[in-house]
Amino acid sequence: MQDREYIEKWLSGSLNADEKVAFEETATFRGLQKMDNALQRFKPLPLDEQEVFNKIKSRREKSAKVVSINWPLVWRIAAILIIGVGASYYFLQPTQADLPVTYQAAVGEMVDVTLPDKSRVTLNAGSSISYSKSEWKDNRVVNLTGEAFFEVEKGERFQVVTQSGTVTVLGTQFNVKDRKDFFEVSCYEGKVEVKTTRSPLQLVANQAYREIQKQPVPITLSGTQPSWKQQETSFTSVPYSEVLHELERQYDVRIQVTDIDTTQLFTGRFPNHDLETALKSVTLPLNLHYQTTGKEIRFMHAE
Amino acid sequence: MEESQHICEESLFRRVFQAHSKDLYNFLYYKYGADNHPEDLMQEAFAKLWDNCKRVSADKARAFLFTVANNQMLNELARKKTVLNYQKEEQITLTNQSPHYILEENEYMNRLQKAIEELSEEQRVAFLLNRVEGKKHREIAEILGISQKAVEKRIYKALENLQQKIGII
Repeated sequence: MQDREYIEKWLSGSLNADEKVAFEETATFRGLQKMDNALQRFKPLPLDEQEVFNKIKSRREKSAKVVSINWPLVWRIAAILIIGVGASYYFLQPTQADLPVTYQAAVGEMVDVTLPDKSRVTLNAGSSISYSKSEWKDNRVVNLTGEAFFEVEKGERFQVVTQSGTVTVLGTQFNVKDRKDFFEVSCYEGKVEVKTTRSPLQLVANQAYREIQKQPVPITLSGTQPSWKQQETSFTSVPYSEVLHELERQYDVRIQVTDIDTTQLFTGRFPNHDLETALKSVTLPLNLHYQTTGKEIRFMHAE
Repeated sequence: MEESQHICEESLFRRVFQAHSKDLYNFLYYKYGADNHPEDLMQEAFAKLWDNCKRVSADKARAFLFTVANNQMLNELARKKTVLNYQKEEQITLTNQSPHYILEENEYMNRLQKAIEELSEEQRVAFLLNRVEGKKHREIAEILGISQKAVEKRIYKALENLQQKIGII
């Protein structure tokens, strides 16, 4: 190429004023200018930065992976010493208080928990579980308040302790619901043993057991999972009071009733993410009306 | 003080992201072309930075990102040919131009595209960062981790190549 010196200066933007005027007269410059204009069209399309950032974020949250460490030797030795001291402290003090691990699903929420043995628990709204980490290896015991679905890994005895009774299993899938005056265990796979104030009994797959006010009530089980896992709540011959309590737990509302017999049994279902439809689903079959004031909902007989 | 702060916290990391994402994306795009997912490569680099956020301070983040981006080894078998697309001019601006001119213009663009794609990766990145993004030689040297002299050389060589292939001047 001719004019190498000029071209190089032009490329680095270091032509002085005089040189610039002279250079811009040349055919070389016109050729370069044409190229420059054409090159502008090769810019990549603008990026949706927000979207990319969100992807990076969700990826980080998903992996939360361990960063490999390449510490210098001195620090490695120091780390070994510290771990050693820490471990001996831990092992020499077995009486250290071991706080139970607690998981909670707030009202209107569902929470998935993986236990140390990879057993999985899904907590329904307004429920909690706790277990002792240090005793877990010898004793798989979970304390449950409310309702949860369990997928238990094979292994030694697995126990779910509630106020109304204890459910004991060997590797299986089951649902336990312990609410006021209402206790229900549904076995979806394997075999479980249920022990309440009454004599123990065993449930195999597709069997369920229910007590209402401590009285056993016969029920049958349908489906392969509790309906609430599919964002829906269904009832078969359940006291209306429990239906209303479940509604309160799923939607964080308060329900008042006027002149309604809440001991009558209800069979039906409501969606867990659509309050309006849910309210209609539980009022229309009983010919009831409802009035909403903020989080307060009043149920009454239709005129 | 802020310089030495580590960047794990989301709001700080977001600031680092906003400061460097555009440059990093352009760099990856010119280096690998549109068909090798420069967006994913950029995601990768930022994810790595976040993973290492405890060891990389805010003022070192840029160097870290470009080092990672520069070393990203694409699977050579799966790697696609470098493609750099150009925006087609809108028809409206062309209505007063003769068909002959349009034809010539299109041909020029196509030849330019082909010539850029055929440049070596090194030359292409330096050249386009300079000509399209208006980056100074010093900035490019920083991004690529090479001397300013080397940047100058690459850019000039690139221009020489284009001249040979399509006779710019």
